[in-house]
Amino acid sequence: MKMYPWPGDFVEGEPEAPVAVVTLGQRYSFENAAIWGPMKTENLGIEKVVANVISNPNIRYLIVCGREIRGHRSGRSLACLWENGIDENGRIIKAPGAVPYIENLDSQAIHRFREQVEIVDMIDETEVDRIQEKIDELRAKDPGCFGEPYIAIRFTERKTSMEQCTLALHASLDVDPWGEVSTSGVR
Amino acid sequence: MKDVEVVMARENKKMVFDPKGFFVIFLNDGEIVVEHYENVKKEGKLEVETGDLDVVIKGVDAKSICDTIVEMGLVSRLDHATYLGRELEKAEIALRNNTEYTQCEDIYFS
Repeated sequence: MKMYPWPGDFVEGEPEAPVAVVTLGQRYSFENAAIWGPMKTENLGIEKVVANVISNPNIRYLIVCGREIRGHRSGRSLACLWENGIDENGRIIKAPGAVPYIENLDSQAIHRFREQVEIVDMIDETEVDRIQEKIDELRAKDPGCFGEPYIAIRFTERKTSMEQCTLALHASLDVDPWGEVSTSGVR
Repeated sequence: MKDVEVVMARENKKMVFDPKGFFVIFLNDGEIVVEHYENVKKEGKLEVETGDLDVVIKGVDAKSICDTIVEMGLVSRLDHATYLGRELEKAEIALRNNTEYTQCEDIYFS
C-alpha cells in the first residue's frame, strides 16, 4: 500500500522526515522534507493534505508557505482547521475561504490531524531559502513518530469493460437496428 | 442553389453547473486521474465548489476516459462534456510530452 493514499499534485521526499510543506500556489523543490506540493482550494485541497499527512505519522510539522490564494484563502483556512476544527455542518470554524467545507473526511481524521501536527504559518513567504531553513530547523527538533498511520480514505480498484457498454458511442456502435451507421470512416 | 449559413464562433462565458457533479483532473504516476464529485448542499444551498467524492477514473488517453465517463452517466450537460473533452485532451498531451498539467490552465512546452 502506498504511504500517501490520496493521489494528487505533490512530491514525495524522505518518508521519515518530520516536516511536510504546503506551497499554496507556488511550486518549489526541497530537501529533508517528507512531502510537499501546492494546495489551491479551501475544501478539496485541504482534505487531500489532511488525509495524506495523517497517513504518515512521522510528519509532525506542516509548513504553510507561498503566496496566499486569492478568494479561496486556502492557506489561512488550513491554519483555521488546525486551530479551530469544524462545526456540525463540516464548515471550518472561522475560515476566511469562500467555501471552506470538509466533505470527505470524518471528524476523527480531523481530530487526528490537529493532534499529530503543528502548523507553521509562513503564508506569503516565497523565498525558498528561508523555507528550507525552517525545514532544517524543524527537522532538528523532531519529536518522533506519532504512532500508527491513520488511513482516512481508501480506493478500491474496479475493472471496467467497455464490452458491457450499452450506449452508442462513436465508432463502437452497439445500437444500430437499421444498419444505417457505418462503423468505419469519419467519426 | 442551396444556401448554407456560415457562423463565426463565439465563446459563451456563462457557466452552468452540471447537476451530476464536477471533476478534478490531474496527472499522477504516468496516468491521468479524474476524480468525480457529487454536488452537495450546505446550509440549504448548493455549494458548487466542493463535493462528495464518489469515483475515481484513471487512464492514459482522453478517449477511454471520456467513454468511461459517458458510460457511467457522470455528465449531463453538453457544455460540460465538451469542456471535459478539451481538458482531457490537454492532459493526454501533457502526459505524452512529460510536461506539467494543471486543470483550466494552458500547457507549456520548454
